[in-house]
Amino acid sequence: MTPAAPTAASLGLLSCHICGLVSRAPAERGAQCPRCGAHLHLRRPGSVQRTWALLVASAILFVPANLLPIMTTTSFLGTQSDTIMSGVIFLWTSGSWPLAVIVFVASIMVPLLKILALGYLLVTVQRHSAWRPDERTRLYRVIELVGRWSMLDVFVVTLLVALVRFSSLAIMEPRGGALAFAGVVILTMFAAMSFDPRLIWDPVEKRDG
Amino acid sequence: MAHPSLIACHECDLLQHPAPVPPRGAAKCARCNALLYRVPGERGIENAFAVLIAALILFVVANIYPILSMELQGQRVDATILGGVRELNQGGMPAIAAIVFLTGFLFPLANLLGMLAVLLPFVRRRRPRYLATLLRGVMMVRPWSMIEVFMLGVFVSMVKLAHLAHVVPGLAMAAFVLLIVLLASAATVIDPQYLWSRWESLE
Repeated sequence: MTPAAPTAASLGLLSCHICGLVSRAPAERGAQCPRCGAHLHLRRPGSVQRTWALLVASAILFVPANLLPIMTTTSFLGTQSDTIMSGVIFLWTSGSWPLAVIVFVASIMVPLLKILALGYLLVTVQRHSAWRPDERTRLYRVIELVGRWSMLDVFVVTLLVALVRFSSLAIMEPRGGALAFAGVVILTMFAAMSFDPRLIWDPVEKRDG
Repeated sequence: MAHPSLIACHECDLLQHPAPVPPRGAAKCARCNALLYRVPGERGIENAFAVLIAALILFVVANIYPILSMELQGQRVDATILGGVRELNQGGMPAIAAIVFLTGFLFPLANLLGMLAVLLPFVRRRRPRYLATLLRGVMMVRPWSMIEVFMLGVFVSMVKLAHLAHVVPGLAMAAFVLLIVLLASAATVIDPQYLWSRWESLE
């Protein structure tokens, strides 16, 4: 790591969040990128507050997403409600444990760890921590990369309902848990997008002069 | 006052002159190792254009033919993405239907069509007025295009239904797998950040 590396911000330069063009920051606010016309900001405006808001909302929604059934199956055996976790257990006990692990990681571990990790990044940014910025940036990168895979169970419910709904052996219907779950995935994706990883590095800049 | 030769890392804001990148290589941030942009191989943009047209054809096949078929007492039920969306909508879940429609159909389609429309000016070395808006739109849509996640969902559904009935993969399944492989192979060439870095070379 090179100490006292110049950042664009420290030299009065802005980089466009869309096309990446580096240009001199004009005196007035609300400047536009000379190349692509996007509004220029030194850092994403209100990044910390917006990410907190989305994160708290997704943490609240995470509870019904896991407690409410995502699907009910009605057959001659009676009515059975399925939550995310009971779906994982079903896969495990029916012998397809690799898929059980994948679904468990994508549907339960990833959203939970994502909420915790983003919360951790926000707290360290707010405390102006200069501790291991490269590791924290890597954590952010992983969060952004894996978030979309949590949509898995929403697609599974869609396919099951589409196949079984009209058959004579059972009726499968989507339930509210699936909507709450999709909400968690979307909110955490927006939360990760609204977080500005450059905030991790700003205190490093100050420390190294 | 713009500085097209400079690049500021989008993850740590380090200002740098990127070192020359060989074909099929990638420029990384000197401080935080973030991927700045990827450089395609020889004739990369023309190749990507061909790959995207193939991908578009596969996308049509993947949405016309069934992904999974279930056979039960001589009865046969087929599932397609759009069919599933219709079922969810009629089953009283319009919000989930909308999410699946957007992430499994509309955004992937918009990503493919948008990328084709973006690459055409780069092939012809022209810079039409709409190009910036279009490239921006493609970048916005991309994280929400989830066909590979959908594909994993198909495998999970197959296993879950196996105890109920005889489930067979349809033609669309093969088309989806090929489509995902194609898009992964083209990903290095259709990196929007690289296209932006080529902006000044267009007339």
